[in-house]
Amino acid sequence: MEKIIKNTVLLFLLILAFASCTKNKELLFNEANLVYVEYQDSTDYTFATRPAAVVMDSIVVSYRIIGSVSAKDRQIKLVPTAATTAKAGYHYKVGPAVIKANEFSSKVPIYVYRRPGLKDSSLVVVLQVAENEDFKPGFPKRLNYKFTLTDVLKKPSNWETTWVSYFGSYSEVKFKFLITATGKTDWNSSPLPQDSRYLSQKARNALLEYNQTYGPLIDENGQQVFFP
Amino acid sequence: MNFKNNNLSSVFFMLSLFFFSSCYKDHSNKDLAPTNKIDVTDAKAASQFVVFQGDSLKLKPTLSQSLSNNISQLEFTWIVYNNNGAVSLAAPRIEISKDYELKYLVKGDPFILGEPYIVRLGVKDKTTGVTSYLNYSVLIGNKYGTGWLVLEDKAGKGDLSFVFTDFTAEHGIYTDRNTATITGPRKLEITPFPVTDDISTTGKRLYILADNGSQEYNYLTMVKKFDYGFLFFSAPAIQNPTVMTWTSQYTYNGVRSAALGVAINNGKLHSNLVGGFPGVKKWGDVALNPQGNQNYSLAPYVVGGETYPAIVYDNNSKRFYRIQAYNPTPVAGTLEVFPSGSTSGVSSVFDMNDVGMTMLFQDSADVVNDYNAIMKSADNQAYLLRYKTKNSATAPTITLGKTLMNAPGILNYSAAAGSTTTPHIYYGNANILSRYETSSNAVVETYSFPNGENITAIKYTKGYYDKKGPRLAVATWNGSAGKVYYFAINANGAIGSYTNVVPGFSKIVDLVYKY
Repeated sequence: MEKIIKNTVLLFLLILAFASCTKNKELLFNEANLVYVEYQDSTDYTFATRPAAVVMDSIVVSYRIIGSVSAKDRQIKLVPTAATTAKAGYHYKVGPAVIKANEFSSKVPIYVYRRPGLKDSSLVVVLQVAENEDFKPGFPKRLNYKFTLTDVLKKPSNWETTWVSYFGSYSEVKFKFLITATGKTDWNSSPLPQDSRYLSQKARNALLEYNQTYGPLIDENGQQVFFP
Repeated sequence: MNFKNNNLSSVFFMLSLFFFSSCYKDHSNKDLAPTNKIDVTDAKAASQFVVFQGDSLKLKPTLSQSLSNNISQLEFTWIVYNNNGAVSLAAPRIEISKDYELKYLVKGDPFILGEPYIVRLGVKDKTTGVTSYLNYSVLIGNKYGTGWLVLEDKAGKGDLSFVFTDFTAEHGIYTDRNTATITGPRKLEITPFPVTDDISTTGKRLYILADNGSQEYNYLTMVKKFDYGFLFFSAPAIQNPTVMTWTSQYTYNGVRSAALGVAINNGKLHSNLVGGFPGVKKWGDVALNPQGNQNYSLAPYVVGGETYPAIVYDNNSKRFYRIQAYNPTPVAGTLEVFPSGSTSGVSSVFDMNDVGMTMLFQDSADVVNDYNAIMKSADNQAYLLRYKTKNSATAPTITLGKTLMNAPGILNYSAAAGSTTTPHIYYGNANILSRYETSSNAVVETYSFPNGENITAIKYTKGYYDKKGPRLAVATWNGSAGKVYYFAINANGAIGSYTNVVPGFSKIVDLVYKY
């Protein structure tokens, strides 16, 4: 009996030893293709920084796949979550959500519309990647793209981190002046060095000209608008 | 039974040792067979060289093998790819030959005029599969790559000529290839190091300044690229350019890199910022002075260095200002005062923030980072100010000297150039070329051109193509014809007599040495 046990152990060890010499299988990705939001996952959009003639605009969202490229175009399925308060087809509409053949990523336009109700309200849209025949949802924390939509002039979300060093404390009068002076409409993203330098110069020259022409520009708090 | 068990245990133990020993990594090389080592060398691969479009690129490296003389067992592959830093590392690799010796006509794809390329030879031993490589750094140029570019005024209209290194000239280059008229030509600006502004391909820049604005031109073909206004985020309302250049703070692998673009238009500063970040870079809006207004008028000179990327002079308030390159503060891109005070102050022999004179001329001195400025005082005296653009926290002073100049006619000079090898400034007054020595404060040599042949432009170049010493190019105009005289400057800065003269120009307003 003891001999049988020892032979069995010996045989097992031999099998184990030879098994360890087995060549590794190549580690190729062979799972279903996944898709996720590539960069920024949210933004605040306001029509208030755009001229009155602008009644429609677009927000562009980047999506990227996990897996291999395909020889054919593939659709991304985007569905609004329960947190969405805007009405699809009226306040917004998702444009072609396609990963084109032989490409890893795509920029998907989301069209937004300037509706009267946005003058006094802010709506939310959360678009979530859903499974379809082409893709499964990718990274769980990178599936949603959220944006707010309004026609009210709002303090940019990055004012205190980005713009305060160039333009000082926020006021609505100052912000409107900046929009008019520079023509810049998207204030929620970080500028490149050459752009921030130009915006600062342009705004200062415009304020200098305004003050020389009309006297000091006063904001809604009774303070003279100035840039540090 | 015990004996059998012991035998089994021994066999088991030996087998275990055998298997585990197979897991030991062999670090020895005693049993490695020597392989044929291929070595490819060529002195031409040591540095970048220029090949003209239309010429054949001929390369024949030296080949050696350690174990064989049989060349038939080798496989040769020549590939080429764009080596421009602004191009993705994934620039396509294009095979251009399978021969040992390369002979390839440089014309069209894959070579683009003005672009740098790596031409790589791979030599593969078909027996072992081992490949050796040799890289050549090639710049695609044309005949206008090296020589003197000359800007002429033909009855108020600008044109270009080119003087080749053999002192032959080609005239009418501008009008031959451009339709836009240059009205009132003023100045040539070239940037002898590459600029990456994401407006056009990375490369050297050429601007022609004129009364009616300025344009950017292709550095090698001299074909117009952009109008003046296009180079700004907001085109200036008044176009009156006097400076459009790039300063360099740092040198990488022997090549200076652009840091700050400085344009002076109508006496106002516009700056431009490059440095590896994405996005289109253009000249910005008018910079304000420290008082927050535009009440200044800059002299048409700018210098830059490691500590201070750009220094300019305001002829209104009669003082220097500095301009920062990249800095995430709102003052970056404005005119700023120099530090003052006992610990960090930069001024000693004169006050950078309060000079009190008018700048007439400024150019490089004979020490790297040092500059000479010729100033006119309120009582019409000429002063030489010397300062530098590099300092340190422990030695902050940048002012070096202030001298009442003993240089006859300097206040009415018609053209001037500073030497970067000896302590001299060459200046022209009517038909007299003078060599002013900054160290002895005296004019130590003069050269007279024929009466009525007046000096209109002077340029000094330290690194001449033949590497036989610096050259001074002096342009003259007698009322009907222009000439360029070339002087070989000796080690002491002496002018001597001219070595070459090239006639056949109209009135020359500026000239630059391209390399």
